[in-house]
Amino acid sequence: MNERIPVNVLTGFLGSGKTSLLNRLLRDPLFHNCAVLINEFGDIGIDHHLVDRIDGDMVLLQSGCICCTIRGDLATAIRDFYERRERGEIPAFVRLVIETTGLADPVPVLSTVMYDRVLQHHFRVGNVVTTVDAVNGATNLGQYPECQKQVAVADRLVLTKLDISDAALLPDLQAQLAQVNPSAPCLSLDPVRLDARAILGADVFDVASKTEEVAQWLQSTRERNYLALPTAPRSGGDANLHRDILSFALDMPEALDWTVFSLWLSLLLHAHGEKILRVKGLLNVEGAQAPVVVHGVQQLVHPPSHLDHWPTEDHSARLVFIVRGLEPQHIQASFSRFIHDYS
Amino acid sequence: MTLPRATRVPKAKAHRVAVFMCGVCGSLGGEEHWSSGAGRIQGDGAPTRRAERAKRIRLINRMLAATRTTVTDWQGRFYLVAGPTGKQQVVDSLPHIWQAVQEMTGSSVDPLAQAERLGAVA
Repeated sequence: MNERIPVNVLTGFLGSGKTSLLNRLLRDPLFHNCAVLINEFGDIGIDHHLVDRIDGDMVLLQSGCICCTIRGDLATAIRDFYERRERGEIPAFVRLVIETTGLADPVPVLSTVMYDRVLQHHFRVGNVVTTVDAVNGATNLGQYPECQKQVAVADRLVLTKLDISDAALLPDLQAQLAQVNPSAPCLSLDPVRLDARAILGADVFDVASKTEEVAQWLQSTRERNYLALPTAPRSGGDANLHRDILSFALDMPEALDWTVFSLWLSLLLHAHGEKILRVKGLLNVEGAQAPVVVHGVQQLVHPPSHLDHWPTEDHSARLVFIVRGLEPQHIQASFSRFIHDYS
Repeated sequence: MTLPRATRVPKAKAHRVAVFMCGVCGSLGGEEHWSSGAGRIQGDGAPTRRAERAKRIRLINRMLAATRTTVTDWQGRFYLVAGPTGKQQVVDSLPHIWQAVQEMTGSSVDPLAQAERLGAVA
């Protein structure tokens, strides 16, 4: 069977530079033959002066990428893309990038790719890339839950508008981003050079890069602190919408019984999935020959997959959570009791 | 009475995991839930699909004992959830089991409930 086509979700708050980043990514020779779905054209359009129109809202970029606005249902749009690719009506794209609107929740997009009966056999989820505006990012992060969630579910954070931001404020913004999402690399968008592969190409589902990717998760979570993000309630808004986002890690020194662990996580996600923005980690599973990667966003959990070997000398298992409005101590106590009672 | 037989249909070309079909009703099963480790977790001690499923059901019944809800296997592909009033429901994955238990008992199975209660007391 052919490899499934990776789908990258490009998200970020209003005016954070998503389309500008996309324009640059698509110029990279590594990412020729991409397909792009854009939820709406913003002030900056994709390079329309460099495109040939195919039909309707679909255009062909000179790089070989195909670009289309999403009209109606996302699943239908992706299926339509795929069917036209199979019929040879459009180039055989090898990657799909979906750019969301500035207020969008990226989770339904991931859910569509993972659970649609047709799409799940032809596409797989790749990195979620979130742009953060270095000028307004701290304010947006403090005030808007949409922005917090976009940051929390990211695999890559890309800082934009560095040329017009106050460099003295940058460390604070980076610290806040690290508190919300300690395991996502935070990349600065260089005005000249762009490492497109680091942003789109290397992900935990890619056979070639997943060991390196997991090593990076573990390293970054060990280096960073797990602190509450200070958030201020929006005036006149519901304070409950702005409960702190916390990231924390469960260390698991003993080998786990997979059946017991998966029951516990399934129950936890059923009861509190809306508040668990992210869970990912590396497990030492009883009877398994190699470490097992667990990776999920809210109730969407990827099937367990193996690494060939432990990425570092340290073989301790660790599961990182990013939660909103849940107490880490309660999750820790629940996990310990469940594993003790049922293993 | 002849019970419906689960028959394994040939792996579809475009599908990565096995699809199961009930021999009588012809209903196709969905994809394996992420919690299924059999076939995905490899090693000398990795369980077979059937052994993992039996263990999962045994553990679920221990967990749900206080709710007077039981779960049994249905043709190796589905689960039969029976509530305290005798109501039954066939479901195909763990989240649907928890949902069915919630509907039958009127309360959610919450793994954090005890920790939250203890936290509140402390």
